[in-house]
Amino acid sequence: MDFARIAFGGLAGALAGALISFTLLVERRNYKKTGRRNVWPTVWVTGVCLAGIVILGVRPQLRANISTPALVIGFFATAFMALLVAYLSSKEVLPAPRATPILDSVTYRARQKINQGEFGQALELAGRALAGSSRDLGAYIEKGRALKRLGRVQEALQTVEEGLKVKADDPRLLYNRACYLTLLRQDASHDAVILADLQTAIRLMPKLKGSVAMDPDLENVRHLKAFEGVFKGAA
Amino acid sequence: MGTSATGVGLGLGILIGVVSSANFIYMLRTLAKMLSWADGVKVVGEIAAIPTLWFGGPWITTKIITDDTWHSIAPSYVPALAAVFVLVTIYPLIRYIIRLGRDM
Repeated sequence: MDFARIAFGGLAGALAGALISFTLLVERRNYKKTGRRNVWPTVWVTGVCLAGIVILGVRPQLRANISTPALVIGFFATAFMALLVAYLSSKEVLPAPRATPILDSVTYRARQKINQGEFGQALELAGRALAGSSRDLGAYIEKGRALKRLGRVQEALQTVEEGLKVKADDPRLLYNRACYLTLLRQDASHDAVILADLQTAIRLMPKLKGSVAMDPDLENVRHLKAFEGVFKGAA
Repeated sequence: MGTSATGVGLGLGILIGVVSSANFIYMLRTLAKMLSWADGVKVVGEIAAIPTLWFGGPWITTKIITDDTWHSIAPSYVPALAAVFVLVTIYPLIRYIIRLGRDM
């Protein structure tokens, strides 16, 4: 029974360690992307994992079936490994994972296809993702990107506008709408919308500043006097 | 009972290991997208489902598994479950963490 006690302890500890460290990493990633802190999911997950560990320690019947050292080692080893892997990959020491159909979401595969230049397949995958969930914001973005690369900018614009009906303040959708409106720009009638979208997108996701400054899609509005205001207004 | 209990434990451990690891991978995907308080609640429900399935799912209250049989299958059930769960989840977990790290 000792082996079972060690396995149970190690498994429970590893599960808690993996979940807590993963949630912390997601929170940090989201903060870096959006500039907004939202600690509630981390608090929830950590609370439930710790409560589970406390229950295991308090209930005599469970305590008899679990190895406490294995629980502690499993917890810290998994958490340490997860944080180390994240650190090494953030420094690009570890190679980027390649897409595999079984594990990756359809939206992620659509993005991979766009990066590989296979826009038709990317469009099909993004369509499938949207058929599965009409609230998948990533799928709207990838569908728009695929359509734009196929030269169907008007349809790309309609796609991101559908996405904005799901979430009106998504910075990536706002940024892409500004790009597509700029590509379709024939007069100044949409300039106010373009500049407002860019300003909101930068405010919600500061790392978009670089893209706004460099993206060739925005070439047609970069000469506008009000364009500099996009950066100032977002600060 | 000895050999057959070990067999039952191993089989059950593998089966529950596959089901719960699939649940865990689904949870990772939910976690990776979570942005709101409500998403946190959803994830908590999924976390609670995993240990419940391991040691208290509907299968444990069936007539086949009584207290006595549970004690005889547990030594093979738990290690088999742990091994299958770790083997199935380790790869997607590392991939998700690498992706998170590259996004930071």
